[in-house]
Amino acid sequence: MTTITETARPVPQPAAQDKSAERPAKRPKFWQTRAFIITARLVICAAFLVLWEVASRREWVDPMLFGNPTGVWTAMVEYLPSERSLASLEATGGAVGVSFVIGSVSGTLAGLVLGLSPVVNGVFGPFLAPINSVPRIALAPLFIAWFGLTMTSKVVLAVSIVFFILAENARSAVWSVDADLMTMARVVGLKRAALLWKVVLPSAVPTMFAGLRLTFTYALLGVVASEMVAATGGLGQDIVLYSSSYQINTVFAILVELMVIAVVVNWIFNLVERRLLVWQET
Amino acid sequence: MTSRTEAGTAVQAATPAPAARPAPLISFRDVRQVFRLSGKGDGSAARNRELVALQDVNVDIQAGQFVALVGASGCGKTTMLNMLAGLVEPTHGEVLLDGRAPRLPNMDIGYMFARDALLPWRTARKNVELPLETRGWGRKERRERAEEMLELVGLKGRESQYRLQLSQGMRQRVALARTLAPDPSLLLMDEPFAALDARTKLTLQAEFLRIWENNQNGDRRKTVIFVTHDLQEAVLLADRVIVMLPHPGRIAEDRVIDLPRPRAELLGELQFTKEFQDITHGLFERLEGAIGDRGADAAKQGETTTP
Repeated sequence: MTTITETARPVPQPAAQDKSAERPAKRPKFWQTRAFIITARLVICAAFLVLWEVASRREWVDPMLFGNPTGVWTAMVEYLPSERSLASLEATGGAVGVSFVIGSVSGTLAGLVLGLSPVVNGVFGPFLAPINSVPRIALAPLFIAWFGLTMTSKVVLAVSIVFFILAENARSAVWSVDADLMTMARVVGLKRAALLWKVVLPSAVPTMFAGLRLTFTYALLGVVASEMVAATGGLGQDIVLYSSSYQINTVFAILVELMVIAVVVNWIFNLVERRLLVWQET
Repeated sequence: MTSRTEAGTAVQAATPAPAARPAPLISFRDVRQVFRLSGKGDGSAARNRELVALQDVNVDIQAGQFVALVGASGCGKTTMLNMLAGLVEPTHGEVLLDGRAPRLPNMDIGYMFARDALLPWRTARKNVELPLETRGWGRKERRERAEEMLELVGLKGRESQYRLQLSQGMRQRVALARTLAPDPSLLLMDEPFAALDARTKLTLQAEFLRIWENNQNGDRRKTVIFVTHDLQEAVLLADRVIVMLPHPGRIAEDRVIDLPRPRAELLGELQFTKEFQDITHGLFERLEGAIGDRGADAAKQGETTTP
């Protein structure tokens, strides 16, 4: 067994070097370089901030309503470390975390059951899409009436969004398991738990991960929206409060804070995903 | 469509009469397979179409034989494999494997597919281990066996690579190693080399043949049922070639290939010998001639409409 005629992709090939040697003239134009692209990004951001600042100072726009970058910065430095802000962050963050965990675990499990059992799906499946199409924010007053100004009402609203998205997501992940793999698995002798554990779940992971990433944003949205309708605290509540008292710069500071949270969490997802899905790399 | 009330009166001429031989490992008796196609319901005629995938199939296969089923797509070759694997039950007639109806899963069967069907999240080695897991092998034995099999198919050093990191040919090699790892006595091969380029295909055919020809547990080799649409491949590899025609899927010719064995080292040259070309030519006429003359008519017959 000596002759291997094929070669795998990751093995570096001398052919690749020849190719680049043949076409040395193909240097990227300066606007295609990474340095240019990053510079362009920074310039656009800076230009936007400067324009905003100038427009506000010269009162091309009403500074009361539109704030300005330096004001936002001051608000961030003063407000964000304050006790009130930290309490709000804790309230919102806690609710988001709890609802994300509850919603994603229960939604994924429900989706798996729906995907695996034609009977359960026959009974409950048709409800999924209609319920999922209700604008959930509209339910916020209802949940607040039922559960009061508590963390529960925020969590219930966020879970009601996350659960259905992930249930549909996990169901279609199960349904889209490669038919060839399933046939192979059956012939090889995999059954029930082993089939689920060794074939169905692993092939559902990429789809489910994409769903999880999406639903974190939705959990944040649900909680903040619920707080905006009515709550005793939280970032959503703060946004309403500061908007109505025309402290626009503080509102922007909170928005920046929310954005940073979402970006950081997304970054964590990327890390976990890369570790979990090593096999997807070529 | 002729309604068949008397089983066995139809085309049996092609099947050689089972003389005083030992009981066959595999027999298809009057097998007929009908698939219902759900019509789109735009007209009454389009509903309830039936596709006759197999018609009057009678074949006996002895243990240790390498049998190739050749035919165009739609002639029911894969259906026959699926019946042996226990994935499909015949609509009519019976399929016997070792005297019994095949059941799923059968641990004595190795089934290799045209597409590699590797689990992409498992390394090459773990893929080869999969059938050993369902057969209750211990961790250490599995690992050793998988490494041994990967070496046998020329993939030493690639054990820890994932599917996406392997070339087409390598993936089929891993699939071959997986199929052979539990040492099944019956190999079902469904166009295993069809997706490969000509060169890789020849290499893999030779390697597979070498493994098979060398593997004689005691007195006999593994039984192989090898489905392909490539007549040359069939004649090159098999002891016996069964030519099938589509619409409805049926057996047209059943021929013993008496080219010398072992052939693994000769595959390249064998193709250019007169003997090989005569056999291939004869079968080619049978395969293409029938399709050319009656293909269009037969195609209409195959799909009948039941009002």
